Order: sequence, then C-alpha cells, then structure tokens
Amino acid sequence: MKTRQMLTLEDCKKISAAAEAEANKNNWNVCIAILDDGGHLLHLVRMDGATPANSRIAVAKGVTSAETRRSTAMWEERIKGGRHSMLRMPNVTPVQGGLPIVIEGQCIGAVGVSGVQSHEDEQIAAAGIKALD
Amino acid sequence: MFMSSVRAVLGVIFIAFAASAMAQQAVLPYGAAISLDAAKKAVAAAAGEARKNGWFMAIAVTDPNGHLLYFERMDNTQIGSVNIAIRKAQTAAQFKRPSKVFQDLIAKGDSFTYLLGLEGAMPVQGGLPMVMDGKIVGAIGVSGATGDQDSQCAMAGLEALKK
Repeated sequence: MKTRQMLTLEDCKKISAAAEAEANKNNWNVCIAILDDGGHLLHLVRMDGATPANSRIAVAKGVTSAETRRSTAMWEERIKGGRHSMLRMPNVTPVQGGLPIVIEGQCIGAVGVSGVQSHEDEQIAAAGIKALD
Repeated sequence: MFMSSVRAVLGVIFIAFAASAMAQQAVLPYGAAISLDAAKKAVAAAAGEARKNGWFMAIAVTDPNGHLLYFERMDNTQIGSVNIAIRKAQTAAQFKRPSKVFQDLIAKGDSFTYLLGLEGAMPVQGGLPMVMDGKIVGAIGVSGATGDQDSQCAMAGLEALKK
C-alpha cells in the first residue's frame, strides 16, 4: 500500500513565516502561495505593498510546480532553450519563482512567490521550504 | 485612511431589504486594503471558532477589489471549499454586501432567480465585507461546513477586528 505525506496547516505556516522573514530581511513585498500536490491552495500571504497581480502569479507559479513536480525555472529554461511549443502547455506558468516541495522523493505540494525579480522570488520560496528540514 | 493597528470601528453591513429588495441602507465607499496583520488576526479568530466546534474550513480574505490577500485551509478541509471561500469573499467585496443577501433573495422565489445570472455573485452565505472607518477595506469568505456555520466563523473573524 502506498502512503501519502500531506502538508498540515502548521507546516504551511512554518513555510510561510520563513519565506516572509526572507522577504522582510531584504525589504521585499511579495505574495507567497502554498499549494497541495494537486495544485489546490493551502495558504496564501500577500504582504503589504505587494500587488493584486502578485497574488494571481504566485498561485499560478505554485500550481505549475505542484502539478508538474518541477521548478518553474526549469520550464522557463526549456522555453528559452528553444522549445517554444512548451508555451502551449496547459496551466504552466514558465517563470522562475515556483518550487515543488519534495519529501522523501515525493512531491507533496509547492510554493509560488511573486513580487520581486524572478530569481529573488525563488530565493524566498526556497527559504520557505527549508523551514521544513 | 488606513492604519495597520486596528482600532477603528469595524462592522458588518446589514442590509434591509423589506420593500425594495436590493435597496441598501447605506452604500459605503471603498477604502484602502486591510493590512496583512489585521487580515491574519481576523482569520485566526475565524479558524479558532471553527476549531472550537470541530469544523474544517477554508478561510479567505480579499482586498476591496476582491483580490486575494490572505488564505488558509485547515487540515481535513474539503478541496471544493478552497474556491468557494474565495468567491464568497469576492462577492462580499465586489457587491459591498454579505453573500447571504443573494441567498435570501433567491430563496424568496421566481422573481429573484435572475440573481443567479449575476456575474461574480455567489449566492451562498459565509462572505462578509470588512469595514473600517466607514469604508470597505476587504472581505472575508469562509467555506467548509453548513452555511450557518460558515457565517458564524466569518462573523467571529470580524468580531476580532473590533477589539
């Protein structure tokens, strides 16, 4: 029988707090979305000063990573590498800033961040996921 | 005027719809978005109310435009409630009234079924506008249990902002 790990609300709050701390440290105002392994929203925080678009984009990046089990940066790189047909993939937002949460080789969800430069968004997402260690 | 420390007067807009169904007592203006801290405080209270009663809820707070500001889903909450909670909050923000107003009107009968065609209006209770200094600063939407229970939690969220 397969077992399935799931993020609890407590896990989400831990991830979000760490991500918010990383953003605050750098004076960045971002939106941080955490999703389950089906790409459904578990937790979202839009920091004061972040835009409405950031909410939408953070979720979109998170959905991409949760459903494909890959970082959104990977998708961005593939398209940049010339596979433009990947732009037609459904529900894929190929912009860095979304990371899957992988526990014991299993993707149990994802974090999507939007608000600053893409590599900085990813830095925040990574800091959040690190809180689970 | 927006302040991060919430000491302002907060309340639910209650709408009287006796004679003219959609008539409002007061049409409040939109204000600046509620702060993240205040949103978290409201959701913590709403989630506390749910936990106390053994209910599993998805709770959303949007800004006055209906864009998501804060969201949390309690463990064991049905996935279907994720979007419903958000849409209830959007309804309350974008129509400046509790989502229950639409539910009650549609329940009155055929002359109100047209409300089902109102784009963006979810006619299910559990969505309430958040009012501060006489202005709408956002909305809270709760989904997961019965409509009455969802409303009870949303109300608890608003109560927390009065303190």
